[in-house]
Amino acid sequence: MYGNVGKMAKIDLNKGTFTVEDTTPYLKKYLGGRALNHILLFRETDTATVEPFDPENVIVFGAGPLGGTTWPSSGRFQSTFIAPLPYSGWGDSNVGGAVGPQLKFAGWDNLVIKGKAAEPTYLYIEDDKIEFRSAKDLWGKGIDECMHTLHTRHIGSEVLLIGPAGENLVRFAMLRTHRTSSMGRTGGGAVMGSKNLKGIVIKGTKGVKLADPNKFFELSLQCQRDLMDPNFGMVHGLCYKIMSKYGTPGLTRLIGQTGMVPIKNWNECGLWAQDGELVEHIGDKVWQRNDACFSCPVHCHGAYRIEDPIYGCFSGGPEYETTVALGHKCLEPRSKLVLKLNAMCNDLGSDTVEMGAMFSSLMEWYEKGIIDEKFTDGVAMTWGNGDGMMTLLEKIVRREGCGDKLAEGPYRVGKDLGEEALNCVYHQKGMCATGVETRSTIGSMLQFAVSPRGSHHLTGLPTAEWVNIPAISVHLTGFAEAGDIRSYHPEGKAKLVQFYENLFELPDSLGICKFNFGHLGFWHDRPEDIETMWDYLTKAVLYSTGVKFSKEEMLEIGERAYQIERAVITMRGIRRQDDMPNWKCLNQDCPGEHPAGPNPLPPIDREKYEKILDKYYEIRGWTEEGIPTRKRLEELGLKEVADVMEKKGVIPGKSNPQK
Amino acid sequence: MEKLLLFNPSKCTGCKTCEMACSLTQTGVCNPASSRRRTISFDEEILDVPMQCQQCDDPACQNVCPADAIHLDEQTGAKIINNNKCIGCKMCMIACPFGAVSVDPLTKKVVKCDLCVGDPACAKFCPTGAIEYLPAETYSLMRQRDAVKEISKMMSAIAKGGA
Repeated sequence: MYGNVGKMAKIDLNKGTFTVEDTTPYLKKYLGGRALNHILLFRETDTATVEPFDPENVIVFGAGPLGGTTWPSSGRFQSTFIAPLPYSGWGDSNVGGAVGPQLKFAGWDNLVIKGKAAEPTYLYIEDDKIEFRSAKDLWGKGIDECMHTLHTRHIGSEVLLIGPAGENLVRFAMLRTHRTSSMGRTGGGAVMGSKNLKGIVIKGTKGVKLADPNKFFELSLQCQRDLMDPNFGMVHGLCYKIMSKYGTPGLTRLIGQTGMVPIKNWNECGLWAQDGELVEHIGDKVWQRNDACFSCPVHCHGAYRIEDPIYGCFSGGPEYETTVALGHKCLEPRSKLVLKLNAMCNDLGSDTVEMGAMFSSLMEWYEKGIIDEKFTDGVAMTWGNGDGMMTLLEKIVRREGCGDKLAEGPYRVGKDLGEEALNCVYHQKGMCATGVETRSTIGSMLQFAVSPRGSHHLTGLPTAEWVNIPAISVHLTGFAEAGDIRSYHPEGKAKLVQFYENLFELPDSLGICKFNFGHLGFWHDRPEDIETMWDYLTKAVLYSTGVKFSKEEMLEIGERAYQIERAVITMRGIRRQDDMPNWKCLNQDCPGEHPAGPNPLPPIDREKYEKILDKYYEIRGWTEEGIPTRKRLEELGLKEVADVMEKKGVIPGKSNPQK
Repeated sequence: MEKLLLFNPSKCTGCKTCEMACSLTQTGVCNPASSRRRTISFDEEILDVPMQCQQCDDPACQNVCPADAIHLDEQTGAKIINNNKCIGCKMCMIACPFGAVSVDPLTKKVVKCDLCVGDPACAKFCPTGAIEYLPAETYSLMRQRDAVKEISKMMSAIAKGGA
């Protein structure tokens, strides 16, 4: 088999055994990676009822047909599972580094892991061999130390690990590889922890075969050069220039132009006067060098070592998401605090985004008098209390004292505290937003609100709206209004969002980086640039797999994957009300300095928003409650999904005639 | 002038594209284990070092080979293994001070860098210029220029009264 390597392992942690299955039949319908993960999860467990920490929950990993090659940024690796953080239960998260490629080098496209090991375990995969090794000596220890131990024990291996946060079932625990690359969102680390699975260590020597090695070589070289070309286009060139030097934090003031950067727990937005240490400063002064993920020319993160008796640390990152979550949202302008907190999250195994949202929510509750310092074991959670955050972070990852309740995350803590507290939490479906103020851009509001895993831009942020070049919006939807950040044009916005949602499934399904393909303004200067990107992707898949996919076929695979996500969350009870913007978005305006858009940003207009939602459901082929219809699912070849939904009483049919 | 394949660890970001480009060119398969060159990571030191055959003038691999299977390619200066003569004793692997000779896991043959017949894929693909294929003279001039840039920064700091 070409592109993909042809095998998946179904691993049973209860018994300590595995079986091997062919992945060849899935290529045409799912490509690999994310889309394939989704259908495997759907088949391997009862996604309507399984609880995230049940041994029957399944965590699926997968690379994709471009992963582990010369293709620029072909190091991405996808996980799919039922998640503990968003109440929708949908769990997926993606990571860079080189662990996905290594899995393919060992001869595996996907791992399907179920059950629960009797004692702390890690999987050691060396080509065909999969061993269940004791992780007793690693349990309780930070990821940095474990990574060092395992890299020494298994020379030449790649590892993906959880930290104490995952072991202690913190609902926003992550999995990490390399210095800073994390599967951060939705709580996959805790699912691993619930299975007594410390991590996966992989060493492969088999490699990835390509259908047309010569053409693939030339095309990937050309694509690498285009990605790095500052003259390819202004937006494209600017993205490369900033990212390759300052990483994502370097984008902060660009993103802030429309008010999109959240400040003070989403009570303010835009450009923050105190951001001086959190933007270019990190790339300029803190990073010892830039780090790259596998096969990537962009090297958008860095490594740092800080000598200090209190804040000393050695780590990688931070991303924009981290500086905004721990800096802007908490009003903590000091880089050494943010870098220390980032290093702690990296080592102890926590998502920085939800950790930041937990802190900023606590700060707002404290300011409003909803909580006092007793709630946080004597720590007064005033704005900008970075030292307080350090104290609480330690407690949260070990579930000590107040950390036990805070480990449930801001949505659940807010819900327990009552309506006023919950209104402060900027979440969708129980997961807090990434560094995006969605009142700034109406398309992003829709996308964040409908996102199956909860508030997150990487499910389909409509990039054309962000760059706001009318010709591109017209090219993609037929409407210039689609790219107007303030417009509520129902068809324009709905079409744009569903296009990016389908598109964003593809990099994750191919094993490449979304930042370089689809998101962030690469290939977004002129309408024809989007077609250049498609040309690259369709040819790359042809030369890699030997199978021809049209752009339309690829987008259909994206939609297929997205509809599976929606099918699962509707079986778990998600309806239209859960696609409504959060309380702050609907009821509060948001002041802040930014050149584009009004100050303050007004609340989302509910009536107009619902018109976009209606149109969006119609385009998706869903009912007015947002439930996928049998007709649409069958058009996409997902009869099996429709059948299960019918059995569960979610869609009407013979066994369920009333509905 | 003969070109040399040279590396500069201070420019390496650890992406390992070179291993992919090498193995794809040499074997048609993307496989770091088949790559004729490896990039070694030193996490604690925040350093990656692209390691490869140095095409030595007094090559230990060639000197130690009992089957006379390693010869010089006059055009490129590469030391090349002749698989018809190679008896697979692995003495070259042991003798090489850089670990630049390896066994390809797929073919089980002893392999090393042959400079891709004068057009090394690793240098072509390296996105940061950490691996370059240049005439020796050009390379040292470039390194000198980089060094002088640093020195001139120091000099201008001194001129401004800082240090």
